[in-house]
Amino acid sequence: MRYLNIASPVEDNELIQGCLRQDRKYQEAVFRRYVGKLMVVSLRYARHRMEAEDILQDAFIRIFDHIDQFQGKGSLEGWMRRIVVNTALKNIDKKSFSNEIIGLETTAEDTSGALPSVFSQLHEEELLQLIQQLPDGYRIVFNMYAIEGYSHAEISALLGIQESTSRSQLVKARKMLQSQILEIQKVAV
Amino acid sequence: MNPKSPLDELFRRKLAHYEVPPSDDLWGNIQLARAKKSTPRLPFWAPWIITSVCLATLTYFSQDFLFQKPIESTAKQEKPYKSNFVLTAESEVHIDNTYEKPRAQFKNVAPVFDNSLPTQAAFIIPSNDLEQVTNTTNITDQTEQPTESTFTSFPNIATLDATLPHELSMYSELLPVPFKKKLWFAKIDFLLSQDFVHSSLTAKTPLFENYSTSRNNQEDLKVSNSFAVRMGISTLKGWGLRSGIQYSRMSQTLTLNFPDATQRTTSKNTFETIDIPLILTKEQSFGKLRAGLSLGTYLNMAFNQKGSFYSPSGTLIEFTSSKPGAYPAFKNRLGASLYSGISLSIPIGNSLEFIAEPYVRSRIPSISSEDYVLEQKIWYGGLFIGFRKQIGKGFYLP
Repeated sequence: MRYLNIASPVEDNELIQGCLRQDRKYQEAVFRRYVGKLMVVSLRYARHRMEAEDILQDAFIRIFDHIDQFQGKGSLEGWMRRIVVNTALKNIDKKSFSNEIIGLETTAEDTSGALPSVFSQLHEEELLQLIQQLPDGYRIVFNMYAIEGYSHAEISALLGIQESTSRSQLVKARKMLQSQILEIQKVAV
Repeated sequence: MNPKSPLDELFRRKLAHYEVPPSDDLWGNIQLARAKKSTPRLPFWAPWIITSVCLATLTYFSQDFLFQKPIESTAKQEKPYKSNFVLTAESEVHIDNTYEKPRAQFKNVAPVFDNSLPTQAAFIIPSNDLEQVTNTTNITDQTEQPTESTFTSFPNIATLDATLPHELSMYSELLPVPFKKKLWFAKIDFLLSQDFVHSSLTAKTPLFENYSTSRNNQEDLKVSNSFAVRMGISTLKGWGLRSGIQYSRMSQTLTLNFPDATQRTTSKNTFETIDIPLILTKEQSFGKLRAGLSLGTYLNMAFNQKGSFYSPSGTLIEFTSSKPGAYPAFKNRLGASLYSGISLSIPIGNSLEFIAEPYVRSRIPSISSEDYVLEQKIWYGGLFIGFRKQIGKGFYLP
């Protein structure tokens, strides 16, 4: 892992000041400190690794170009994460949200109970792959709602879709993930 | 806070601190993209326009500089020529004698100009004489039959006009053509050349320095062949301007040693270019031998390539321009290059010369596309040989 586990005592504030001066050393330090986590964010929204890297490249360009707009409210990582998400959302095809997956129940939502133990035994890489295998609309809504913490109203506004559509896509995404995890369990057993 | 299902929590918790490294070249690509965004770029034709303006300016001022010398008489060696200057029998032209003694004054006779005429005294007609001239001189065209005058020519008569003061422009219609124009010669060159091409690869970011070093070590000297046709005009003083078209085909047999040393292959790569040269020349005679210096620019009009090389990650990359989906490592056009050469020519027949011109040429911009990780600049060195044919016996520009 070339960019990870870089020991550096430099605080975020110092990195931000360096980036404001357009100092390439500080920009690279920011990149190396956060690129691993932001790559995961990008991978969750992208269909494949190449697309994820394109998103991440555009996001970092925007980060360095607009670092002066970071007002210090919240963490630098959170601000950068939002930029990555927004960059990923820029290229979304609205038709993705009209796709229906035949065979999935759209009314029931049976994820309130305790998860089987196999769920917690899944590795991060497997979870990431499960998300990437979701259809575009399901994947984006699940990411925004379940992991980023956006409300359906916010998702509706950000994506230009109806709230009911957002809810429907979330339910379908959860169902699909559950069924896929159970398939993995069957194979494992 | 959204109501979360255990499934949501599972994904959130597990992925919160998970990290995945991107590919090694992501940081380099970000730097490149930012540099590209912030650097204003000149259009590819800008060097051509700038160079052309500079050459035109240089040519214009060099004429004033060159033609200031007094002219020595060699009238007896020259054939007379007929002038368009026609006077009627009533014609009367006064030459101002306030400068020196009158060199020419004629009435009802055809004037014969004295070749020893000092340039400063030539043809200054005071403004108060203008009216007299225009009133008493009846200029006719060749269809009328007045007394037609014939001038004795000067060998370098074409150069006289550069010394004429501006006032004389009012009399431009009265002046014989040779006094207004410069004598030019048109020539055409047919040239072939064998060239050696050296290219240098430079990484755009430190990340690819090892890659550029590896490529530099493995890529050998390229060989090129060119064919050029140049049309040119030149003056008696040896100044000339040439332009035309040149086709070059550069070939290279590349041995590809992959970074892990497990694979080795060869690729025959070819690069074809079509260029338009614009060359300023100055020549001087040394007996029969004529030597000259040529400086100019080449504007690239097309660039096609065929072959492959290996990528930074060690995979073989096809860059053949005609294949759909081929990697766009090179530009379609290369912009401009600078040219310098020394021409040597000897006459071998009627208006025909054998010419040899050793030269060097350097591409100004990189031939790599902007998105590629390496800058690639190339230098050509070679020898043009061919023939130069003079067309006609000289002419005056309109």
